[in-house]
Amino acid sequence: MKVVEILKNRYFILIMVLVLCSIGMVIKLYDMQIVKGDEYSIISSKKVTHSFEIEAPRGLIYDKDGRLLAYNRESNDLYLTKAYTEDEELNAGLLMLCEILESNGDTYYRSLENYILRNPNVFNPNKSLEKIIEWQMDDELLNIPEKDVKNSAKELFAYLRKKFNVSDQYTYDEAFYIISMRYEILKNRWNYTTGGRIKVAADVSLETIGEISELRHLIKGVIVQKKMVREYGNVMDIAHVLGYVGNITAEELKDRPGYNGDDIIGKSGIELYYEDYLRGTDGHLQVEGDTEGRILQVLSGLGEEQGYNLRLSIDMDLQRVAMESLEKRISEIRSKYDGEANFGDAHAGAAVVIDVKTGEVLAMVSSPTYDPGWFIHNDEESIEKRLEVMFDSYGTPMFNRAIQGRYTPGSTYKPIVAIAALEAEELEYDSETLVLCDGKWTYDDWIYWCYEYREFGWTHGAITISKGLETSCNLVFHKLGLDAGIDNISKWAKAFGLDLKTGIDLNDEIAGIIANKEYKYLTFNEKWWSADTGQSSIGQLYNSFTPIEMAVYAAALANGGKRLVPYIVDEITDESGSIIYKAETRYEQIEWSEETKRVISEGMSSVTLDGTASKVFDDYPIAVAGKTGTAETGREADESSNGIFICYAPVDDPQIAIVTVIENGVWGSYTAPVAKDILSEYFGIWSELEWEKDYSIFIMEMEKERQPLAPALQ
Amino acid sequence: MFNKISNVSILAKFDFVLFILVGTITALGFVVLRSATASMNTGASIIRTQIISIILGAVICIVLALLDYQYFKYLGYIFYGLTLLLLIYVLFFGYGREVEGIGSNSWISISGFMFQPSEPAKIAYMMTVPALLVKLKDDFRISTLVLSILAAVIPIVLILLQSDLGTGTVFIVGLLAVVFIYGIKYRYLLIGGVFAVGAAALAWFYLLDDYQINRIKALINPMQDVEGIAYQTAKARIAIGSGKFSGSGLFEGLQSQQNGAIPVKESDFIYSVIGEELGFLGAVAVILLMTLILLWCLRIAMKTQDKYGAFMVTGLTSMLAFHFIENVGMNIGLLPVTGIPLPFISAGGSAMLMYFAAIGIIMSVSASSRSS
Repeated sequence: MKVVEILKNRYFILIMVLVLCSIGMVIKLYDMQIVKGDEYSIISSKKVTHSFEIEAPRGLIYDKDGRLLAYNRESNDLYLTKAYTEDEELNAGLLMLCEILESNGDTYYRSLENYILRNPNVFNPNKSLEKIIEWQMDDELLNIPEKDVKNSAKELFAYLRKKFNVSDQYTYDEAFYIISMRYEILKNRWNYTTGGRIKVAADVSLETIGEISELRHLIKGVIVQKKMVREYGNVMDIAHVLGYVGNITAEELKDRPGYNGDDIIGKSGIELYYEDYLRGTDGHLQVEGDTEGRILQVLSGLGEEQGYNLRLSIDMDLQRVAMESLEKRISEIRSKYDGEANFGDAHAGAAVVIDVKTGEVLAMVSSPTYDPGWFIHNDEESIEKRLEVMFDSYGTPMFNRAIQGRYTPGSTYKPIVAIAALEAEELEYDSETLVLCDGKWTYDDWIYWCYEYREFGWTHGAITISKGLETSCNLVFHKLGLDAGIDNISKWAKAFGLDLKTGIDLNDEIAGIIANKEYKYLTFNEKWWSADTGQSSIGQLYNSFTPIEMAVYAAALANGGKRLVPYIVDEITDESGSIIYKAETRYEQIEWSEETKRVISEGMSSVTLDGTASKVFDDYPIAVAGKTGTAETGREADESSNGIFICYAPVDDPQIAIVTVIENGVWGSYTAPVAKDILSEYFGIWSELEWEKDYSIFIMEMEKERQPLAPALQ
Repeated sequence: MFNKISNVSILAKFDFVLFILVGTITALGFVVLRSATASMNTGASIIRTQIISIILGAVICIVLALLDYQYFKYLGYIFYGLTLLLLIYVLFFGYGREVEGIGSNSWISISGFMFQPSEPAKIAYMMTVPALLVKLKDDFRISTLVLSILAAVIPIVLILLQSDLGTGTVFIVGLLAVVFIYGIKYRYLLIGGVFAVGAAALAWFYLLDDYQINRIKALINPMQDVEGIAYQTAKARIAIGSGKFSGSGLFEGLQSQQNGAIPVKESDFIYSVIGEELGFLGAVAVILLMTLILLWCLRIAMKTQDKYGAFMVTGLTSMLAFHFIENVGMNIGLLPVTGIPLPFISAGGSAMLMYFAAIGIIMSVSASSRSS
């Protein structure tokens, strides 16, 4: 055929073009795959893209004076990446890994043991048989068809041994380790890919890392990633304020977009309330490495940013004195068992110290306490178990009594009743008005008693209101209260915010209850009687407030009626020290007359001079205004009353207000020594008590230079 | 002619060879797609879309194969008009540039279901332009010539305005093939070629977007910038090369089973997955199958006595051929990267339907030539 004729058949030309293109492609493929195939294979095995998150270290938490309470420590987590394609090699490597971890006492993920125990080889007795059958059939996991579900752990184990190709050469124990690890891989198989990774152990020892790196050629695909983890100093005294952190739960994950399943999150206290500030910004990294996870080249990434640092208003010296004094006092009261008023059952308490000018909380303790560090050193299962016990048991240490405990105020409520009477325009009470205590008084068919008259047979006579506060004569306050009326009393209690949350920067604060008509009607659907007013006037009946509310109340008495919003975090700074947030003093002004203020101040001052707390404050160099309260719990037959004390000092220029509460503390005056110790620490007056001042808050100089990356083993 | 067709039984007219060849490559493609998407979050939904597309495509293919293609001469104009409207619509309201891996605003999104109007436009184009050319050949008039040129050029301009260079080239190649078979003189082709080179130079400096220029530059020196597009094509080539003779096996490809290694591995770069996991054997098998399909189609065009059928088959086959050659070519590093998928294998709804529709039309032509 002539060329011209070929060109005339235009289809033939199209066919030639197509065939030539195809031949050209085949030649190119031959060159790439057959000639240079080995070369490309080697490049390929070093061109694995690994992408991973780098969890940002949490911000640091300091006390008022810059003592480090919560910091971070470097830890090493182990991950597995898919480096093997053969089961035999993988199994041998996993066994070696487990043996290293076991020999160094490191814990690792063993979720298989939620279902099958190693020794003896039985189903986990904590799981019901239905759960175990359900688990076997779960198509995300073992996916065993219904007819093949195993009824004994041994059968299932044999099945798993076969499934994961664990050869007969391995002993039972060895096979269990392998299967346990293989199960972790199965569970997370979507991430167990070339370039992917799954976490198998957290915070392993340096010995383990050393041994793994030595045996690197035998244990392929193990990646060590550094991470900063939370660590606490000696913080038991401030546990409730500080809180603790833990792994995010499925429930928390729902409410918090932007978190991953293995993130750490604040669980309580400041760690929870300021989570958004403390958390920081996670970084991520995309690197190119080999199949085993060794990094050869960084492709792209974003460095992690440490969370903001918090400085608390809490003074750890004061905090520690408050806690130690409270606990010492509780055990003292217990030892004074008399079987009449004191049943030796004092067991818990709280104390709050507040700066009356700013609202800063200088100390807030709740006893019994717990160790926040425990929660970061134990696995989730033990934490769950422990939390159950800690919340349910008597004394509930997880409970922050200062903001979550409601206590009947008893006589500490009397200043409010006095204010209500003095401020009522329709009444003519003033600083000079005398109120008669003649031991016993009948009103509306109800007999009111003076406690001293009933117990000891003497009366207070005609006394002023401030004298009433000093002596805490019940009869005087029954009279004042019934004169002023419950609506007036309730109005003033509300003015001091006693039925409101104070707005402190902690979660789970509760509001107090003021005894009034509204509450009785709404709660019990019952009418209010004058006897109710009588009971309310001495701080009984429904009245019950949290210590933090009482502290705000005491501070308002001290500072001329400023109802402060208390706060614990004073300042938030970023890593460079720039201020992100600075707390401001916020308050609502309560309007009351100068004369009323003077009466309350005089009355409360004489409490510590001649009144119910005078023994405690005998010869005390600073003028303290206080009020004791003994709150009946209604179970006085075999339980001691609660003891409460509120105070502020110095009287002339008040600086701090204190509230101390001891559950079953018998008398209000029994709790006053705690306040006295706090005052002594604050004002630097130590007489009978010697406190070790050199206690160690573990202060760590943080390494500023952190490695920006988290490389695999070198 | 119409009557003759109806006299022959359906089974005898049906082009089983073509149907089985296409079925084979589709099945192979589906298996590879399963492997390519195994590591992807969106894998399951991609597979679901693909299954639906294949079934729908097969139905469309069979229906078209059983229809008399002469109707397309007239139906084509309506279809052409509709697709032209859609192409104008995407020009203003199109979607895709902001989506990674698409690069051009050539998509329409109707309540979450996305499709590219340029896919049905390919079919409409190849129904209409050949019809006009047949008219021109039978009765040469300037008015018909002008109409033909307008009909041939407008869709190409619209698509190029979307910055979709790859698809534009598909149309140009299809048009050239039809014009070539039409019998245009070689000297006109030469003159056209000179103009084309000039236009290409102009485009390079004035019309092409940066990303398009980068893709062409990347072809020339793929190892130069590791971060960008060249890095991706390098990954694709590494994957193919490492497949060696028999490949790593499905679901075992080191690069194929990573996320973020081979770019758009479920679609544009699925051939790299084939190369890595099925090796030289699989990669050549795909070339062989595609070449056989295309040769078979050209054979149909050659055999038919009807000019309209011949032009239409040639045009559609050339479009498919360009898809195939460009896609494999960019995977193995011979041609610049464009968003042209591999027919019957790459994931993608509207493209899959277009391939099957094209095969259906070609089968219809085949059927009529068998009956005559």
